[in-house]
This record gives sequence, C-alpha cells and structure tokens, in this order.
Amino acid sequence: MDLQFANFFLNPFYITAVIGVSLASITGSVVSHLVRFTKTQFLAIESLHMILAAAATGYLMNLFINYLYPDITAYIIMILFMIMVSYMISRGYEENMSIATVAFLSAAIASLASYGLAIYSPIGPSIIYNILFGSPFFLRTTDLLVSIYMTIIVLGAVLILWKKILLLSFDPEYFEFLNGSRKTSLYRIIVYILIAVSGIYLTRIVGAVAAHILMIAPSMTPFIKKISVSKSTIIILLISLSSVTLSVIANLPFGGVLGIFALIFYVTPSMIRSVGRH
Amino acid sequence: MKAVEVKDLNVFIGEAHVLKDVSFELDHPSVLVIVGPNGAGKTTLLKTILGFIKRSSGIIKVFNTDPEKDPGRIRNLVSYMPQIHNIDPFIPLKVREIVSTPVFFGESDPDLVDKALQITGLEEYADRYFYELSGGLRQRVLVARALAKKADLLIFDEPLSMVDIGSREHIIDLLMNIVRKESISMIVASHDVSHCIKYDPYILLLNKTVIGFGKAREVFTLENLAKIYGAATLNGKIFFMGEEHGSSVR
Ligand SMILES: Nc1ncnc2c1ncn2[C@@H]1O[C@H](COP(=O)(O)OP(=O)(O)OP(=O)(O)O)[C@@H](O)[C@H]1O
Ligand SMILES: [Mg+2]
Repeated sequence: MDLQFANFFLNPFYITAVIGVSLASITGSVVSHLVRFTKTQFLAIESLHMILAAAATGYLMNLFINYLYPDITAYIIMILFMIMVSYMISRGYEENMSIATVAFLSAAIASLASYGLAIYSPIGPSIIYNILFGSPFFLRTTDLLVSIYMTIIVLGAVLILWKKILLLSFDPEYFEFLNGSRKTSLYRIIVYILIAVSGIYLTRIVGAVAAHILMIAPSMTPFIKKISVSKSTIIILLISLSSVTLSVIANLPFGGVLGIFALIFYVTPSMIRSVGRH
Repeated sequence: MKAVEVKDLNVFIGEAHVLKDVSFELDHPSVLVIVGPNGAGKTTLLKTILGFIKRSSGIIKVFNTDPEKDPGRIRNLVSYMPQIHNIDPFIPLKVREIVSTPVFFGESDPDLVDKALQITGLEEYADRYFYELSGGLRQRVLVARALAKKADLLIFDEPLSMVDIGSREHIIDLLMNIVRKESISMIVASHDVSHCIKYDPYILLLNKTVIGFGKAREVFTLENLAKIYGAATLNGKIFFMGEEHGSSVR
C-alpha cells in the first residue's frame, strides 16, 4: 500500500502535471489581479473565443505550412485580436463593445478553424479536445521549458508595470493628464496583450476552460480584505494541486475538478455572508 | 499675461451642445470660481481647457498655448484634480503613493509631497490605504495630489464637496495662502462659493453658456441666480419652478 502510494506521487505524469499546473496557477493568480484592477473581466472571459480561434488556427496552419509552430501562430493571432480591440477603442467605441465585436469575429474563426482541423487532420478532434481541456499529464520537456519562460516573462512584465497599472486603474483621467493619451492607450494595450498571451500559455497547459478559472478566480478571494497577490497565489496553488490529485484519483478532467473547487472556495462564502465589493 | 483665454468656445458631446459661445479671460495670477447647476458644463469646460475634450469651435489659450496643440506644455504648467466619481477607491494604494503620483512620473519633487500632506491635514493617514478613508478624507488626498505637482495654474473640479464645512474653510484658507504667496492662478468648479468669497475671486456663472463673469458683487444678482438655477424673479423675489437641472437656458 505504501509503495503504491509513493509510486503514485513519483509517477512522472503526475510530477509533470504538478509542475505545469503550479506555473499556470502562479501566472493565473497574478493575471487575475491585473484583470480585477483594470476591470477587464469581460475581456478575460471573452478571450475564450479568441483563444480557441488562435489555437485552432495555429494547428490548422501547421498542417499546411510545417515550419509555422502552432503556439507561435496562436500568440501572433491573439496579439492581433488585442490590437483590433485597442484600435476600435481608439476610434471611440466603448471598451466592451470593441471586445464583443472582436469576439464575434474570433468565434467565427474558431468554428471554421476547428472544422478545418476535424476535416484535414486525422487527429483533429483530439487536438480540439486538448485545446479545450488541456493535457497537464502529458506535457513534454519543451512545454515545461516554455511554461517557465512564459511565467518569467509575464511575471516580470507585471512586476515592472505594477505601480503604473495600479495608478492607471485608480484614476485613469489623472493618469492620462500626466502621461498623455498616447502613452495611456499604450499601457492599456500592454495590459490586454499580457492577458491574451497568458491565456494562450495557460491553455497550453490546462486547457481553455481551466485557463479562464485561473485568470479570474484567484483575485476573487473573499476572505482577504487586503487583497494580497501572494496570499491568493498560495490559495490557488493549493486548490489547483488538490484538483490535480483528485482528477487522477477520480479519473476526471482537471478543468472540471478545478472549476468545482474554485466555486466552492471563492463563490460560496460570498453567497453566505454577502460581501460588498471585497 | 493671461492665465487662460477662452473665446467663442463651443463644445458638442455626441449630439448635445454642452458649451455655447463661452468667452472669458483670466489674468495671471488670479482665482476663478466656476459656479453652475449639475450638468451646466463645468467639468466639460475644465477638460476642454486641459485639452482632454476637443472643441468644435472657438479659441483656447492657456499661458498663450493651445492645449490641443501642445499638451506637453500644458502638463508642465497646470496641476489638475478631477471630480472624485471617476476614481476606483478599491485599488490597493496608500495615501502617500497616491499623493506622490506626480513625483513617480517625474513631474515633481518629493518635498512637495510632504508639504501637500501637511496642508491637507493628511500626515497621520499617509500610510493608510485609500479605501480605508472616509469620503471627505479621500477628497483631501486628491487635493494633496494636485498640490504635490509644480504648477502655475491649479485646476480643481469640485475639490471639497464631501469635506465637512469646518475643514473646508480651513483648506480653502491654506490654498489661498499658497496661491497668493507663490503667485499661482487657480480655477475651481464648485457648488459652494461661501468660503472663497472673502478672497474676492472672479466668478464665472455657467449654465451651458456664460450667465455672468466678473467679481462676486457684479455677478451674483438675483436675475443671474434665477437664470442659472432655473427660477423666475418677480418684484425682487425668487421663485423656483423645479425645472430639470441645466435645461433652463436655451
Ligand atoms: N460622455 C458624455 N456623453 C454624453 N453627454 C455627456 C458626457 N459627458 C457630459 N455630458 C453632458 O454634458 C453636460 C455637461 O456635463 P458636465 O459634467 O460638464 O456638467 P457639470 O457642470 O460638471 O455637472 P456636475 O455639477 O454634476 O459635475 C451634461 O448635460 C451631460 O449630460
Ligand atoms: Mg462636474
């Protein structure tokens, strides 16, 4: 029994998943605070369509043009989507309207590209399955390396921009007064791109569904008045790692288990004792 | 030298004609209080002077500079406090960090921050989070932030509307002191002129268009007050008719 127990936790698949999911949780936690402060929840949620479009198109193009890595194509498409959103905002459209418009477009691309994948590739359906639910237990070394780089890039960028993002979110008008409108929109685009790029990277590890939970839930932490990034990161780490373990034991998809755990932890307490804005 | 010159200014926001043929000039240094009901266009006028809102026609000069043409120079010369309602108080920033914003962006010196905290009576709150403060204290933080930036012209949009009456008078006294001592000009949009009056500022009565401009005794006539607050006068008495705000002058 003891040996079996040890075998389970030393299993390379399990260890891979633990590393991948930990990195994803840390990035997700930081991004979720970014999302919360900049009030871009709608963008974070709507990025599901964009991620599906970008990832599916990436794989589809890889079928025809071998040297185009699916991930790199996906990152480029995602950044293009964000530039489109920012462009619409700069033309005077409301932020949410701009996001919704790009989401329509990406929903169309997502369904066309997935359809193309299903038709042109024998493993098309399993690629789509992977995009949706991820494959944390089957990450290759390169995937893990890329995850480490991405975690460093996203965390580094957020760390450098943290104070500016807080000041921008606190009083956008005053920020614009001191920095001019061009610089202000540039910071907004950077925030969008950070959210978008993290979305793709999290999708690679845990799938699009769980990526959304990681990008939104951690900053919802209902027990902590002073919303501290480090505390909420520890909490989401514990939740994610329990979800990985339970998903192995119960043979359920990681995203589903994570979603239920996150719901229980983040949402139920606030339902019970109706917290205000905190 | 004029601090601000505005000539035949018209501003549309969408379809709405928000400012109509607004003209006035402000010598430097001097103090101007803009008075008008909700929706009169006070905020719009301030933002147009700052160059945030594009004008449809007319001329604006701030220290001889067109704010739409050279926003960088305006940023150097002006300090600004926006109306408090566009702020997200739950962003975890401490009072000192907020007041230091102009220093953080290289527009000011650190010693101005301490001075600003002192003037607004915020020294003991410097290390508290903004969201822990009451409405009036929050507003003082924004006043302090504006004071922490070097400027020849201070623009305040309803700076003290949530501050209690006692502190209001105290802060205005301190502001006027600075303005006079350092020869700064100041424009304040406000519903309450009572504490400024003793300093004899210029008054701009605004309700989409200029109802009156000048010193208080010339401007605060019964006729003008009636016009601006949507009332009628009869034999020296004033009658309020409960019209929708800001809609009485067409
Ligand atoms: N973004 C906007 N879109 C449409 N109308 C606007 C917008 N901003 C202002 N307005 C209109 O412009 C008019 C003037 O508004 P403004 O905020 O300048 O008034 P105000 O005098 O500052 O009022 P308050 O005392 O309430 O601050 C109002 O009628 C308002 O409805
Ligand atoms: Mg206003």
